[in-house]
Amino acid sequence: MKRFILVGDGYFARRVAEAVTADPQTRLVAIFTDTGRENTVSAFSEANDVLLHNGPELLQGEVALPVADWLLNVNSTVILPERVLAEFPDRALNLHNGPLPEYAGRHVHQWGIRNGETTFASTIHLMEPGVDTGAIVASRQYPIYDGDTGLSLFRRSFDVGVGLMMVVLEQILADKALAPRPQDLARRRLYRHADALDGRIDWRLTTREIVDFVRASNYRPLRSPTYTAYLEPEVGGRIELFRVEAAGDAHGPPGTVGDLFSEAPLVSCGDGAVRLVDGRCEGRRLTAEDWNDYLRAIPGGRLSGHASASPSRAAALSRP
Amino acid sequence: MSRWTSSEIRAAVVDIIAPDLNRAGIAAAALDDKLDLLEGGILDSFAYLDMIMALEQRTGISIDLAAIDDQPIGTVGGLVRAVHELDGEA
Repeated sequence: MKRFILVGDGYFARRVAEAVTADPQTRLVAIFTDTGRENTVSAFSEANDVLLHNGPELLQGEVALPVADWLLNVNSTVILPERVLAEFPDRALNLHNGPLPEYAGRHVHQWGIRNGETTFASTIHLMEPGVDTGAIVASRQYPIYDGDTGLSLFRRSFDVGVGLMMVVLEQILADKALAPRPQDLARRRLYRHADALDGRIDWRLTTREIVDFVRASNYRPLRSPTYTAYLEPEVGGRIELFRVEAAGDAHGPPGTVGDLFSEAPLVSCGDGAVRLVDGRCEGRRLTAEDWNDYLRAIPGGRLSGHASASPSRAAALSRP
Repeated sequence: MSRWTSSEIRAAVVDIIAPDLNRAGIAAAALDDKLDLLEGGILDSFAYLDMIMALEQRTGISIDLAAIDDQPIGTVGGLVRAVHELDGEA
């Protein structure tokens, strides 16, 4: 009998909980989740008589850790303290929704889109005090499609990741060695939550960069966990953008607006123009008349650029 | 050809969010289909996404939110209609 502790939130953590409890050789002894907002995992815990704790209690040392053989961390933002990890040497696994070492940290699926990646990967690694620095146990690639949004890629990344966790679980239950391989930390990039909060569009970027910046922030109908791409004309307030498309040659310097009477006006950017296909103000999708009202009063017919917090590729990177 | 009726999809949705309704003091039988679950504070973004994925798991219907987000899918009624249409297109 192998005993597991699960730390995690949401549907993907629940799927792992279901897999662990489905096997007669295993026992899920406790779940740590954010009980303040969590129902899916909490309901599972109640239905299956699994001990439930609030995730932050792990950090604060308010609860004694149950005896277990393995600790699994799935879709959780809790950074486990060293004293907890010390209880599970080479037996604490984290499901990370990006390729390592290149995409450590948070919201990396959004950064994958922003950086123009066409393939991405979910990774299971041993947990250690550093953020996503532990040796890699397994990884699985998947494509990023042109039509992907931040939300669709988030779902795919964890869907693939949970499937990968099932494979690793089978290895554990079969007493097969996991053969972790250390990361090449010279290639490590760490993305922090604070790096991805500015959604103002820099019109000096290329069409591709702007298209990717916008779709990475698109979580419609939900709110993005980080930024939402936007422009801010002189009148009418902030316009959030959810879809833009490349639209041929530029018709002026970056930020120059055109085709004002269209359902989807044009804006010149660094190497061409983009068409604003889905823009919303206070949740309402803009019509041709709205666009005209908002954009015709822009001084000089140009939207301002944004030099201080450019969303350009490879910006906001930090090394450990 | 739809495999699930609107009533069946609605029943699945209501069953999935029953703990959230309970927490909000709303009886499942009295749920107004026009109530916006997100704007009404019944579900936050995480819980809404969990609900969608649980609904996919139960019904086998693939729910691409980007494809239906111009419909009022924050409401139970709007979501049920949109998912029923997706089922019919499958």
